[in-house]
Amino acid sequence: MDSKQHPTREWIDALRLRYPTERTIDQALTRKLEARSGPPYVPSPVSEIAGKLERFFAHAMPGARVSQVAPLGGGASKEQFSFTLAEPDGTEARHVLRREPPESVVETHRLREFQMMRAMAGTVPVPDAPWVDAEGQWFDRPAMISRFVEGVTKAPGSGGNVTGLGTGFSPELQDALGGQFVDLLARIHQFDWQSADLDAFDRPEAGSTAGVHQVINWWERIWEEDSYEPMPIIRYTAQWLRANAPPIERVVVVHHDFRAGNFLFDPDTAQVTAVLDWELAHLGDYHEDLAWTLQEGYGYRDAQGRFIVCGLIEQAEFLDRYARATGFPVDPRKIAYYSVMNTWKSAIIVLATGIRCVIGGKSHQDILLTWLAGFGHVCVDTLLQHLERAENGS
Amino acid sequence: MNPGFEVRLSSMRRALATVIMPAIDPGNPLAQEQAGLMLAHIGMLETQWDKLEDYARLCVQDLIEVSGRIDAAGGPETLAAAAGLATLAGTSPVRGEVAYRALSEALEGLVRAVDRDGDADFRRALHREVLLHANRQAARDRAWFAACGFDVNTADLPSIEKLIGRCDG
Repeated sequence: MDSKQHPTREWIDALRLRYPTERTIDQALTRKLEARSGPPYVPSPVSEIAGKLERFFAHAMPGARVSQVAPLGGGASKEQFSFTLAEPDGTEARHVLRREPPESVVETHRLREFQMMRAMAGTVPVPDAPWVDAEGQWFDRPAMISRFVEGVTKAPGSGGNVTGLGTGFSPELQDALGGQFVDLLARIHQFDWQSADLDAFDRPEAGSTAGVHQVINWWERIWEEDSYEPMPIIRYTAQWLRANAPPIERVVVVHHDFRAGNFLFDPDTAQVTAVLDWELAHLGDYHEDLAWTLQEGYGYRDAQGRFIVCGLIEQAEFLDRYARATGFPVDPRKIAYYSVMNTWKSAIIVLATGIRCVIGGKSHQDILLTWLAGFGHVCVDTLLQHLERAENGS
Repeated sequence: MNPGFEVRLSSMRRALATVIMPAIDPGNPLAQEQAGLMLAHIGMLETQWDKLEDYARLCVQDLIEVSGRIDAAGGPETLAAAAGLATLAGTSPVRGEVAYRALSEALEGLVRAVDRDGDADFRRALHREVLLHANRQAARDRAWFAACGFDVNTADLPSIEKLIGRCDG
């Protein structure tokens, strides 16, 4: 029997001790393990979701009415339903309910996502997120409600795989969106997080490697909890990351999944309308985001062999514009380090957690997660290239 | 044995594509997406189902060869982990996938052990073996899962048939 599928209290406690990480991340991962032996995911009929929404708003906004509840596509990690909320004053607006499945390809804490989205409002376009059910009091499992934002993640008829990976943009859209894409990332990193209400987040110390080690612990713990097929290279990489961790010189908000597919734009005006998917955001080193966005799997090489970041903007231009917008130095050695870390994390997400969800039948997207595992082997191949570059300093 | 996997998978694919998918509520994009993914999975299974054991045994053989090159040096944890790997590598595999997981677990265990009490020279040698093996395995797995469409550099990948030695190309 696969013991990870039926974790004991002692096993969970030993992992928590071995891999100390942020408080709320520890809470989310521990909650996942405590529920792992429980029942698999069962789709909720739309009528059931509608009932839960009505009960929630009877409490949160007496007199409001809920209608047009419908499941949304996409959303590899969380269930998503759209609905219309008619407020007591008669105004109507579409909203989105994001609810955790019993286990998700990324196990995160709704309070973190909620606080970060609210904090970033006004700095970059984000969906307004008025309500969170962090403990699942109203929706059986933790959930968040945000206003629906109009926009698309890719142009109608363009290419691209599931979840926006490899999304193709026309030259016109590249011109219109590429610069916005960089500027949005720059604004996230320049955000004054110390004045924001982000008490669900631990604050890493500047000038220290402690925050980096917390991130390594976070993800190695996930590998320990979720992996099904052992992979010596994942273990080796964890050791390498510990041995080579650079100090975080400037602590910033790290979005953690800033790429094509995770922002919406108006296809008529080519203006970005929302930056999405804040669930993995944390405080750390901006090089972590830069390296994430630069991942090979999110972009392509053009006819001249130049890498087009996220299918939007040529790499040298991306980095140059970022440095000019922020005034932050871009250290190629740190990009190399975080490229190793990020491809390692990506491999863990799709090859460990994704498969673990499917084994337990825990997610609304099991079939998508099975498909996404194919991306994991590309990640491992890329990880090896990054390790070689980082070790050779090239 | 009759009908075989090939016929059964083919009938599933056609039913899904021609009857089930057109009947899905257009207002349910999640159901539409998942049906599309089912169709893609079935297509991959049709091309892979009769090659899985050969593929798994190819991967197992590589790990057996890695094990044969390991000359462990260090403390008791390293030596015990290396001995465990050698024992597994000398056991005739019953089923490729099971053997592959067991050998991978033993090699991963050795990587952990060497971090605790391995000799420095052996640690370097083991890390080199792990990296070289990971390169070979990643190339194989990329070929095996190339049809998923995530790989932007498929030109250098062998076909599955070539990988398992079933064609001359």
